[in-house]
Order: sequence, then structure tokens, then C-alpha cells
Amino acid sequence: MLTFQNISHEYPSGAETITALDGINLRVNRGEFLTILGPSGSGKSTLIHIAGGFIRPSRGEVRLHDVPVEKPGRDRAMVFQDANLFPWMSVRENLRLVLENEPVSEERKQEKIVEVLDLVGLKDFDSSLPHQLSGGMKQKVSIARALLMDSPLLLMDEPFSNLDERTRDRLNRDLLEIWKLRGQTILFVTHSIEEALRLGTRTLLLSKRPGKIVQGWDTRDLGEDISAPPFLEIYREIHSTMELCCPPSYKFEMR
Amino acid sequence: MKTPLKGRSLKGSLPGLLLLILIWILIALYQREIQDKPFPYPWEAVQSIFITPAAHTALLIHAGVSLLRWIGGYGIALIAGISWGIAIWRFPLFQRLTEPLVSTIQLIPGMAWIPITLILFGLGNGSTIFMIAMTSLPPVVVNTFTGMQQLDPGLLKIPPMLELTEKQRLTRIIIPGALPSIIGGLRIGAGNGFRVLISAEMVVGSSLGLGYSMFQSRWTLDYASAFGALLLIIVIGLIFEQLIFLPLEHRILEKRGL
Repeated sequence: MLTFQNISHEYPSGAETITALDGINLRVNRGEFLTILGPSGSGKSTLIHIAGGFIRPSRGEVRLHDVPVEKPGRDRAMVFQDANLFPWMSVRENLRLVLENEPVSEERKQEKIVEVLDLVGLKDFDSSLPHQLSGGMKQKVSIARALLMDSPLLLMDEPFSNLDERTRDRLNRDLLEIWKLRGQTILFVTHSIEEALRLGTRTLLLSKRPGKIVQGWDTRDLGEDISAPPFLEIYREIHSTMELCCPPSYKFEMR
Repeated sequence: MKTPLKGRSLKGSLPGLLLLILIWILIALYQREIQDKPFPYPWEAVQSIFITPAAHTALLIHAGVSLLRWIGGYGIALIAGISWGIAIWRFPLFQRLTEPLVSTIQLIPGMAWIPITLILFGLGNGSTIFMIAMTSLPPVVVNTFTGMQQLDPGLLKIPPMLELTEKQRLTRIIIPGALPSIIGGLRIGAGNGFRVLISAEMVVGSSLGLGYSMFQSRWTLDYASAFGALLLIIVIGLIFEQLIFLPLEHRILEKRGL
């Protein structure tokens, strides 16, 4: 469905050039929940922004349904680290913007907004302004916006990293429910092993800069119980692989 | 830029205004009783607004004419300034070409436009309106542009993802996003324009306008009327500040949780 063909990306930093990604080859299958794990500076955010069409790679090509990705578009809904809601618009207005150019009646547009708000549990907050919402609620609106786009592919760039642990756990569960219900393909970037294992059907590890794919794990059917033996086993394996691939200065997130 | 709104509300300004009136009365008392000068009391100034000697034009008519001139010049600055700011933001070449021009215009004091405006428009309304427009324009252009430039880059990722048209991006995202800064520029521009209006009317205006009326009072020795004109200038300024800009700014910032 989504393919990364020999993706490399460099960006200038003063007089030097920094290589963020180096030779990434990857295929994301339809209906898959792929989590990409990596330490800070591994280029995972750059990779997902390339998939979103927000960054043009220095080399290589990303293709969605065999069509080259050249710019952002409605076929790739993205949820960012910050909710990026328009502060002067209510929740409903923020969502209404998604349907601005949809050739359906206003009544249907409003129905769709209610449906998606119901799905993320924010039905009663449609007239709230972003500053009246908590961080978790804002991120839920951001997810609702992405869902409303009805894209086959959902790109998520550490969407819960700015939230407290409890909110993050709850949103992880909600996201899994939504994915099971809608069956969209999800590419999810995180620096938390636990989050990657809880959510993903497959987890890839990126090395520290320049980011390369180190290894992949099939993480289907691990369940949500992080103390269960299969979960712990794979957790330890990823943990030790990270220690090997990344410099010792890297601090692992242990929860 | 966040402004302390509470302190600037009409109610908040009342003690300051009362103090001003008290100082005025004390100065007038001193000037009249000790120095023997015809310094008018506040009530005489107020009276001059409503009661006009037969040979003179009523102050309220002068005020109306001044207001119309200001609306004309400021209206031009508003439309041209916002359009110019948008164009600078949208077209880098236009920015390179015209940004130095805005900076130059900004450096010119209002009254320094007199030689140019007299050549271009002669004495009368055209000159006054031109001077108001030229002094109101720069802050509107600069604030429109900087407001757009300082928009959160994260927000700018959304319109291309939603495939909004250029017009939708501008009218739904960019302009509303820059609105607090644009309003700030409009307020500064309004003040600039109003100040130069009074000065311009003293020099290039025709036989009407608050500035002209104040200037004339030195020949007619009608000092109460000059103070009346000054009071009208303050009242007009307060109306714009308290009834238009302040509620507008308050509403915009409140919606953003600021």
C-alpha cells in the first residue's frame, strides 16, 4: 500500500549537512498498524513527514497505491505531536473545515461531525474552543479530524508524547478500538517501546542518526497486559537491541 | 502582544479622567485668578461645543468634517495596508521590492508630508486625507505581514493536508490567525492618522475641521472654543478606542484563550 524506496534525507545545519535518514526501504501493508520506534534523532519524525508529503526526501521515493507522494493530501491523514487545532475555531468548526470541499449536503456534514465526535468521546464538547480542552481532549479532536478525512492511511507522529501517562494509556486503548472498528492502515511513530508494542501489529526499530531500519518484530496478539510473558520477552529483546544499536548516552523509557 | 485590558476599560479610565479634570480646574483657577490669563474652565469648554457665536461655525460641524476626513484617509490605509501586507506575505518578490518602501514611509513624520501633499493635492480635503492615509498605512502593512509570518507553523500544515484552496487558506486560516496582530496595527494606524489629521487641518485644511478651528482661535481669542475642540478630539479618540478597538481586541483574544 505505502512503500518507501531507498529513502535518504539530509538537511543543512550551519556549514554542515546532517543525514537524518539513510536508505530506508519499507512497505506498509493495507490494514496494518505499523509502529516505528527509535531514539531521539533517529529521523522517525522526518520519515513520517516524508510519508505525509510535508518533506521532500533528498533521495528515493514514497509511493501510495503506486502513486508517488509529492505533497500533503487528503489520502494521508496526519496526527501531529501537537494537536494543531485552530484556536479561534470551536471543535465543530475545526472539524467542519475538513469537509469544506466535500460534495455532500450540510446536513450530512454535520452528521459526520457528530459521528466522529461520538467515536472519540467528545460529543458534548462540540462548541468548546481549543483552549477550553485538556491536552488529551485536544489530541482526540486532532484524531477526529484525521478520521473525518476518511483517508486509507493514518500517519501519527508521536501524538501522545506530550500527555501524562494515564491520559496516554487511555488514548492508546481508544486508538486501538478505533483502528479495530475502522480498519485503517496506521503508521505510528513513538519513542516508547511499551506504546509501540501495545499498539502495533508490527514494530520497526530505527537506529540513531543517520536513521536506518535495524530490525522488525511481529507484535500481533501481544495483548495489553504488559506483565504477560510474551510482552515482556519482546520488550526485553527490543530493549537490548536498542542498547546495541544506539550510543550509551541514550536513556530508555522504562515504565 | 497581550494588553492589560482591564486597566484600559472605560470604568478603569474614570479615576484618571476625573484627576485630569481636577488638574485642569486647578490650572485654570491659578491662571485666571493669579496670572490674570483667560484660561477656560472645563465647563466653559463643554459649553462652547454646544453654543456657538453667530459668526462662527459650530464645533460639532468642525468635528463632523474632521471625522469624515479621518474616515476617508484611514479607510484607504485600512484597505491598502491589509492588501499590501497580504501581498508581501504571499509574494517574496513583492516583499523584496516594497518592504524598504514601507520602512521609509514609516520613518517620515506626519507633518513632513506637507510639501509633497501640497504639490500633489493643493490645499483642502485631498491633502488631509492623503496625509492621514500615509501615516496610518505603515503599521497596518507591517502588522498584517508579521501577524501572518508569525503564525504557528504547525497550523500551516493543516490546509495542504485538507487540500483547501488558496482562497480558503487565506480567508479561513491566514487572515483569522493574524487578526490579533492586524487589529493592533489598525489601532496604531488609527492613532497616527488622527494625530496628523488635527495638525494637517491647521496647515493644509480648508475652512473647516477641528484643527482649523483650534488654529483660528488664536485670532478670535475664543480660547473656550479651542479647548472645546480639544475635548471633542479626546472624546472621538475615546469612542474609537473604547467602543470599537477595545471590544474587538477583547473578543478576538478571549476566543483564543489569551
